[in-house]
Amino acid sequence: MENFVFKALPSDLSKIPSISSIPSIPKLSSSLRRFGVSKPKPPPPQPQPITPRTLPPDLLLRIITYLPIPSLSNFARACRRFKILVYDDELWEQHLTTLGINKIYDNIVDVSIDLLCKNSEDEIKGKSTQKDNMSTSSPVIKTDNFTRQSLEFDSTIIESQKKLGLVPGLPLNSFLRSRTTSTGVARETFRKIYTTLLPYYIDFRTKRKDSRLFKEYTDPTDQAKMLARLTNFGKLNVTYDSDQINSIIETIVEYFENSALHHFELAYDAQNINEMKKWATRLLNLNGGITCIQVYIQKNSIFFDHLYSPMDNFVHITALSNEELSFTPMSEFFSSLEDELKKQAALIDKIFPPDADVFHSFTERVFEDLIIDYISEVLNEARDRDDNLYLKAVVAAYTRCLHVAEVLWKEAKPSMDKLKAEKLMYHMFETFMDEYLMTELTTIKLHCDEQIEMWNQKLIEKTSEGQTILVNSNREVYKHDYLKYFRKILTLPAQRQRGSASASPSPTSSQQSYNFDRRGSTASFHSTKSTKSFKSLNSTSNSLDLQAALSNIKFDQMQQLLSVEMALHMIHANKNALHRISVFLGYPNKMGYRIKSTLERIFIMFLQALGLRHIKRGFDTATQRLGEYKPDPESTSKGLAPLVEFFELVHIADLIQQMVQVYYEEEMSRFIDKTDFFNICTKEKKTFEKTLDDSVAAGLNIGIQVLIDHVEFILSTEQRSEEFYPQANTPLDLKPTKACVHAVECLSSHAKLVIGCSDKNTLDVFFQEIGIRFFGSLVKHLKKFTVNINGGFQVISDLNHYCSFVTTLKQPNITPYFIALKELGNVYIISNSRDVGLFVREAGRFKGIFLAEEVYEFCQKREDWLAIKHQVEKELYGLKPEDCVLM
Amino acid sequence: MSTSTSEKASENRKVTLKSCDDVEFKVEIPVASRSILLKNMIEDVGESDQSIPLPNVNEKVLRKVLEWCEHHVNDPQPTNDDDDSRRRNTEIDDWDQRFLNVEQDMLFEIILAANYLDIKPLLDIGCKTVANMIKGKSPEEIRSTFNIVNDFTPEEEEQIRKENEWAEDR
Repeated sequence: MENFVFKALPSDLSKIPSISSIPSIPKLSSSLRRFGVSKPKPPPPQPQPITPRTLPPDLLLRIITYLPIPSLSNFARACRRFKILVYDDELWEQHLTTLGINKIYDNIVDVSIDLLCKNSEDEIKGKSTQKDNMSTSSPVIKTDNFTRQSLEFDSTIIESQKKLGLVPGLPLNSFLRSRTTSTGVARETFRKIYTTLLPYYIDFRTKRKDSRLFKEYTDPTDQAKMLARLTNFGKLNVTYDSDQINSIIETIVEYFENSALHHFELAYDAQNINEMKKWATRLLNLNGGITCIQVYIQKNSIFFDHLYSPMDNFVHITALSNEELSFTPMSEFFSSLEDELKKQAALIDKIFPPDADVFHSFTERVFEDLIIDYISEVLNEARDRDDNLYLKAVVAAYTRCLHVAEVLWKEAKPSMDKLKAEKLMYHMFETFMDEYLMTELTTIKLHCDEQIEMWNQKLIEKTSEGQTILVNSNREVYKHDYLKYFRKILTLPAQRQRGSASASPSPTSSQQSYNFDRRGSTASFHSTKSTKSFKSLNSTSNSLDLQAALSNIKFDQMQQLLSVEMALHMIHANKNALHRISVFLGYPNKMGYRIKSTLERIFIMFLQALGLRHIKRGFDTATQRLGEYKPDPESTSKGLAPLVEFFELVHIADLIQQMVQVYYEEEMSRFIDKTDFFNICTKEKKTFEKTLDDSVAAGLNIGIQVLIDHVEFILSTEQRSEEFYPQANTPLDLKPTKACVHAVECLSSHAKLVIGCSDKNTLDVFFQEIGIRFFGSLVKHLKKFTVNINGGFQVISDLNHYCSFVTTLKQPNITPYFIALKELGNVYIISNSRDVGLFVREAGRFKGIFLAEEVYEFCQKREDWLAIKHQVEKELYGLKPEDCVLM
Repeated sequence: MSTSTSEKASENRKVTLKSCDDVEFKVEIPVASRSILLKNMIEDVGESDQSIPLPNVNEKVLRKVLEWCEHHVNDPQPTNDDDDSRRRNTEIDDWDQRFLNVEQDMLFEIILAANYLDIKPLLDIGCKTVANMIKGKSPEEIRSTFNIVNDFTPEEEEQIRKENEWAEDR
């Protein structure tokens, strides 16, 4: 033994740098080395420069798996290394796997005994004792047999490890691992099976139906099992002529299969369950029984003569000229399928063993052959008629399919695995999803386009029409009520939707129960709300609900450039689309993701259409009109039409925005995470709000300009110069002048309009801006007039009026300006010229709002300016002209 | 340097392979993708001008392997579950037979390269070819075919024969 060296060279040995001093080796050894065998007393295991790599053990093993079994003996005898390979567990485990035996170590003894027990009639005699013997004694025998062998292995391993250890850095060969785990059990098991099966196998060389197999096994079930075994056995290249024998066995199997199938069909036609089961079991034993299962499925009458035509769904549609479909024929079709599926589940369970999964195959066929065809016909027809009809049909079909899946895992006995049933259904329906999602998107897009186009058209037609503008007090009430109704209407169908989804519709009356469900919820709503204006709620259609509600709220009045009604229509269409799509949200994986993104895109599309193409456009027009407005002397008493109009617009926009907000919260939040900043819907909503705010801000900006221009116009046209320079004999009434009163009226009426149309921040900015600009115009205005003492009192009373108006705006930032202005009025009523000078100098009292120079300017407008100028300047500069002395 | 025949169709994307003796081959990606190793590499790295070094394959063998890949470029990719049918079928088609009609050294090199490059079908026909060389031969014939020296004593050899008697051809 020690004479031999077992060398298992790793494949990368050749990478070790060669040493030039090695004496040249005879050519022969290069081939030897390939197989890891060297002569006794070999040279030290130095790498050879010309030596190519050896075939590693796993490749050799791969080669010998292709060897016919009889060749293995000779191969093992060629050399020690080959022997180890042949005795390796891995080879035999693979062979056993081919034979269909997988659980090697636990069950192997049982399996082989099972096989042996059914061997032949002879062995049945006294079989029980033999069986006991075998099951108890065989492990013992095995250990006896293999002890010596494994000892041998061990010594070899130690040997090789020693030698390998001599080469530093050489990794221990992976070969060693499998060697140490080889127990020989697999080989022994294989041997048993082989010796048992071989006589039957080679008997087919010469014989056919008279072969030993058919003589010894009379029961067709056993025959089938044996034939199946021999078919597997033949895969192993058992003998050198195994190809011929295999083809003979194949023919016999075919013959056997055909006759068994014939019997099966006969039994099927007679509906003899026991017979069917018998033959099915045989066929399953023979070759998995695929043909048998196919025959069984194909023979079901459901596949060739069902009475349901997809067109039945459309029969009533033209007659009633109503585009609503009840899909009752479809429900009937599906109900019949569900009944058949339930029946088949029970039947198949009786005929076939559960692991053949026949029910699954059957269901698959039902889905792929029947349901797909039916649905696609319905959908094609619906699509030809109307897109909306199509969308509804898809949802209806899907709901029915969901129900079928539910029947499969819930009601069928034995039931199918839930995931499996749903997977089947999802997979089947996926064929329709692409088109459906596309249509959903295009429909919404079209609808948005249509609505906007219609609105624009309407606008052009009625630009000249007079508008009734809501009175201030009414508006808040309207808005409040409107939103309340809106929320109600929005949430109502949603509740219905949920209700109908959770209540599992019974197969026969689901449609009716659905309707009933609706009617019920509508009725309850009706009763609670009956005092309101929702009297004409229609119980069959969501859209009618909304329209009826709409017509009762007179909001058309508020339509100028923006339309609440249009927004409502769009939201409504959008909501319907969302509800349709939300039915599909259970879809798994990629399709589920696509459904969700379509849902989001629909919402976004709506927001964009409403935001950019409606609101922004309306505002742009309004802003433009505002900009073009010129103060008109004729209409001074009335409000500023474009500005009022603009404020109305802001109100409507605000209402629409609140509607969107409600819609977003009530509907979208069910599908998306509102707190997710990165969600595109949330982002888009922000954009929408920003567009609106920007438009409002831009409009307000111009609005302020227009308003101030108008106020300036009032002041300049109505303020007469004698008001501030009255004749000495004119009595003082100390009421604000007419111009002042009008200006304040104009400002305050418009300020009131704007309240409540935007958020507080915008309003604050708006009022502050108005205040500051108004202040500027007042300063400019005042400087135009020469004022005497009596006029000064008039000025002060005007200023008081302005100031008290500004205080009502509640803008602490701007009130100081007007207080300062009030203070400034005093400059006209100081009689003492010295005091005037002091007054001008003490600009500190204006809190930095007026500088001394400005006060001085006002001072110049005093009627007695020329007289007091000298004194004032002296006081102001602290020195008099005569103080300037040449030194 | 590169003499690979695949150069003819130049419009396809190519990768450059470099053998262990530094010879470069420009190969169309579908051809190179017969090798699962290269296929995964190309997929992972994406397109790159850099050549892929193959330290375990020399020029001669790589050329031979690529010839096979090119001939079989349109074969379906083998799947894992056809292991069984592959084993059952020991036939090798004519072209492959001629292709593998090479010196034994070369045959082994091809098998090693196919194993390294993970080209399952080529590895299979290589192993089958070797198996056919062994099939039906006596131990002595096997030894002489493969240039192996008998390292058993006659007793040991007889022992093995006995242990395997059950498997002898009948």
